[in-house]
Amino acid sequence: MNPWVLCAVAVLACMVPCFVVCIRGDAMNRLVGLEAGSVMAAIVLLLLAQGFRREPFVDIALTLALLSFGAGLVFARFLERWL
Amino acid sequence: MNACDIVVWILLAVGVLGFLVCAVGLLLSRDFYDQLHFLAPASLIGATAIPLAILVQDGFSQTGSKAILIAVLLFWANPVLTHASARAGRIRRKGQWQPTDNEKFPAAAEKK
Repeated sequence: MNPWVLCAVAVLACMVPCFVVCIRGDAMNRLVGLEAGSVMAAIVLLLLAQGFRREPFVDIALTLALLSFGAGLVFARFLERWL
Repeated sequence: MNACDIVVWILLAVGVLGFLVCAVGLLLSRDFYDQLHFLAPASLIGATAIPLAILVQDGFSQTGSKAILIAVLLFWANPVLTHASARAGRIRRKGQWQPTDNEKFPAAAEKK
């Protein structure tokens, strides 16, 4: 196991509290859990692409980072107005 | 193990530490506004140190350039998302973003 995969596993373990917050909290706490989890997921994908030397897979991490920003804004606006 | 590897290991450790602080903070704080503060270590420290480690390892290759792009994106998105979330939370609690008439702000009162 190279350092990149080792770090990916460590960051993946850090995602567990995000799931706990998403399960246990109210709607706003869940939004925070989602935002933290999406940042960690993007970095895990980046670390795995580097660890397994699959350069094209970095695009998935880039796409997730881009989409998670939009998703966070849309969820925040929905929670503000309608939900 | 050369100097480059040591720098990579240090940057990876700092990055994981940033995510760990975020995870522990999310678990320990109950209030939504307190939890929002703990998004910062993940987005600003974790998401910057790990792409930097990739840049140190690979240089400005395809992976290194995209890793830096991801770091810039996450670094820039964090304050915007935090503000949008805090705004949404306040509007849900108070019904409006602007201060209400009878709302007291201790810091503002001290300045007067």
